[in-house]
Amino acid sequence: MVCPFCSLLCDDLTVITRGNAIVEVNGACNTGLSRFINAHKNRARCMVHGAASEYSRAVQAAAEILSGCRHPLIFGLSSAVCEAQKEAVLLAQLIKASIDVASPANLTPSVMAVQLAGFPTCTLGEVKNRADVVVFWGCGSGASCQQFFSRFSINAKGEFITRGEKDRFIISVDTAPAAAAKYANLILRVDAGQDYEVLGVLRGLIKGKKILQQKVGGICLEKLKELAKRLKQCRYGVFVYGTGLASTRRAYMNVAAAVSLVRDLNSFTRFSIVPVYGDDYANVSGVQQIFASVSGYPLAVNFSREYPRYNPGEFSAAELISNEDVDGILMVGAEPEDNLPGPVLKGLKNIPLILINSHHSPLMKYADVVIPTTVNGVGASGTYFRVDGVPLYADKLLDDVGYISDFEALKLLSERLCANVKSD
Amino acid sequence: MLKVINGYVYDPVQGLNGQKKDLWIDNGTIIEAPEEKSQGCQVIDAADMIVMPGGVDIHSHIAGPKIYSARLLRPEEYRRYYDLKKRTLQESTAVAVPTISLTGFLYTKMGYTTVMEAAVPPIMARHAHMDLNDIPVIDKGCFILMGNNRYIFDLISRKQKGQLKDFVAWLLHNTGGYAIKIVDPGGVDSWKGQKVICSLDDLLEGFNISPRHILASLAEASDELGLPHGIHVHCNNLGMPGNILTTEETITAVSGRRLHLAHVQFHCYGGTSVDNWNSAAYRLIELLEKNSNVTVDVGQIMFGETTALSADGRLQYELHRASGCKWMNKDIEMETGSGLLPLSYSEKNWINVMQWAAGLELLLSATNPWQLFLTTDHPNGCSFVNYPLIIQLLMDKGFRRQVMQKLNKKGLKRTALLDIDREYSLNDIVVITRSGPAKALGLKRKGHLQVGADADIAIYRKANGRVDFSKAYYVIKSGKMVVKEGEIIDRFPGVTYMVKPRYDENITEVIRAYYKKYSTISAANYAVQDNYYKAKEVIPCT
Repeated sequence: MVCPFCSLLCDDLTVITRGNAIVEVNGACNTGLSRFINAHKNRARCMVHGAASEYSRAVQAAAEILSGCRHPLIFGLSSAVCEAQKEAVLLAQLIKASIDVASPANLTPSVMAVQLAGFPTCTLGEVKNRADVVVFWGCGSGASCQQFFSRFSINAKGEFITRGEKDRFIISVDTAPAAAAKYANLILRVDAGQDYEVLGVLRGLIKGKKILQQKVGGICLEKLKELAKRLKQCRYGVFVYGTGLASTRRAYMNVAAAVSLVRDLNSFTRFSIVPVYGDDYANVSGVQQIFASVSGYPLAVNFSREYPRYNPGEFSAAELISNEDVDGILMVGAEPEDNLPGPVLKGLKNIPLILINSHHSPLMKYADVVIPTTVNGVGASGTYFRVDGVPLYADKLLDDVGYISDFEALKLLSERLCANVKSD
Repeated sequence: MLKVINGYVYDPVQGLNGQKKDLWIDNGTIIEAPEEKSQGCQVIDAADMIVMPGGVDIHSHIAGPKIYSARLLRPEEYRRYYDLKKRTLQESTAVAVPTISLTGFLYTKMGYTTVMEAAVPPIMARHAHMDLNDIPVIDKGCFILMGNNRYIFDLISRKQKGQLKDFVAWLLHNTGGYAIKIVDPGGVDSWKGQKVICSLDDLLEGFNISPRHILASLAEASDELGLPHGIHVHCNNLGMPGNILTTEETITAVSGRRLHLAHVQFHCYGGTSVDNWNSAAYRLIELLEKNSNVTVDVGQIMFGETTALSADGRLQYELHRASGCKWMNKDIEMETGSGLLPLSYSEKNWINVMQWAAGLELLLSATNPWQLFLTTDHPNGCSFVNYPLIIQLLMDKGFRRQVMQKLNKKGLKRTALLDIDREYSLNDIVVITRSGPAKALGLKRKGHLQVGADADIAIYRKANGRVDFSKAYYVIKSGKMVVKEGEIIDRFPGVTYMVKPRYDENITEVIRAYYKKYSTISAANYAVQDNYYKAKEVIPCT
């Protein structure tokens, strides 16, 4: 079975069901295990304006809200299956909405960096089979780290890395102690907000430029020289970066600096850059593909004119909500309340909100309509893209009687809105 | 029932060269004229119009991860589709990667009804099929990349012919593929280990085999499996001076077996360095004359900006080094690689002009149009929306001369184009854009209008004495009118063509064990489920 709970999509789990219950899960990490076991606990309930309701009335109420909007926003979708994501983009086109992805902090900066500098990357199997040097930069620590280490990187044995960890040189660069540091052959502690400077100096060093400063971003030049040498001498290096690299305001410049470093390293050896997205956002890779295939753009798309427009920062959900530029929000998959900055939460309180979600969420107290769904990969099937773009099909495990999927919910909403458009 | 009357029909398969002939269509196919007058028959009056089979593109890039990456890399490019003043789509704008819907509509509006996606990594096949499935109207299929698959290297080096055949069949079977694609055999994988493959006899590290073995073994497997299309090859040394020798060696390597060489314009250069770099188109034409087992498509370039994308990762890296443009690369575990970057061809750059002229030289000096087909290796040479312009260059020497006046003279002189006066006939055009590619693909119901053929028909008007190929006046797809008076009036999904060659079930266990060791997904997850096809058709192996 495919585990649909983070963007690594481990595909060799065994899940045993009895009737409509999951009784045993083998091969999952702790997060995956707990998500499977608790899939049917603490579920969302169908609600309209705070009162218990049923699907047809909730869909009708949602359609009424959206058809009254001048500029609605569709937001979320990074845990939805591709089939639902596609339905959401088509819906955005229909109602002339903005549409954006709920994403980890490093996603939008990554997209902007790709558009600035490109992106030499690889699938996770190349990390497993070839990477004799792996740099973990700003990867922090999360449950998915452990899977990333054991399946794809540090401890994984591959074609050219037959002894696993022993055949790899591991480098950890972070502002605070990180999960990778435990295995690292070289640990560098960079001062918060100084990644760009350090990456720039590294680029200089690998090109043989003379550097005058003795310390950059809190790291001694000698240590950086050692790192530069390691990077140049590897057979196949991989630069893995997490949200840490994107935690400052110039996040996209940090990612672009990392891309440039990796690009430059290809003059000396082979090197790839790979993002990691942490514990949630299982299909954040898929949602970009779907957005782009329909609109041409991977995120932050606006359909209010005859042609799609794209501008992260202008049509990004956080900005649209904080500035209260939208008059209705359809959120597919609730964001954890802690992930949302104050101005966004304030916006959510003030703007009509429709929430399509599988579980109870603190955001429900702000929602005008709640449409509960089954858990994708448990009660519904669909397509996911792994963090490196490998597509996988998650088959449903059981019949979740009484619940529809997010795909079906969006389809119903779309049909209702189409009917409204026609009757107008 | 549908009837097309009064049109001048061009169908080289039937020897029709502009004769007036009525066509009867029922249930998606062309039928005999019914003896009795039937009621309720829709009639299309094609008086003064040109009627021909729908276009068949044998080599294009329209689906899958590379196309997504190109969209991700270049939002600035997509934006050019919209005319802000008129607030409409500018469909003639040559954009490398249109959206899914536009891809289908732009092809259909030109009268093309079948398109092959030329390079799909097996592990990404599901993605390619998601895209193909959503492209409206046109029929399609995809070629599966096998020329840098390490398991295939292993089987060839251990001389396991039977297992190789089974594995190839297993791959095609599970990925919904149509043919074997080979890109820079051995070279893509070698570059992951910092090695460069320069000749067909360079040995691959860790395997006692060379690109020659890969070509010969896969050509043999393809023939023994009876696949409808021969191996589809992007040769080593793309774009290098003197690479005609590599192309010649590639033909030799398959010892007379069926072979399709892709975008040969990029593979027909003489000389030994930039100083004496020239077109060796004549040499390629000689090779085609001597080797009737070989078909090629041209990969014509046109001037302007595009996005280059290819499984040939090292080539794209070299282009990046030369241009400094933003560059994407993706190494794909065990199977292949890929790279992409913005690219432009300039009328002032002598090398680009030589490439442009070499492509036309190939087309214009071909003695047998059934061996050489029109493509632009979309979007590598340029967008497919340039086909009508290229056709005009082939059919009108006056126009060609006019265009050549603006081009770099040095580049033109490195080819024989200035000395060629030939003009293509409409029948020749039908062969290189329809009948020829359909035949090479083994799609027996495409590329002609005989009874039993698929009713995919393009109907064009004449303007100023020439056929307007940029906008078909009517297009009939699967017996239904989809373009009327130049506009799309209907959309429905096309068919995905695939092959399902037989293999020994025992291979599955061996493959499973291998994947468990070196892949990051299990072999079982390779299989693209039927729900990824709105309509599919399995073309039988012979």
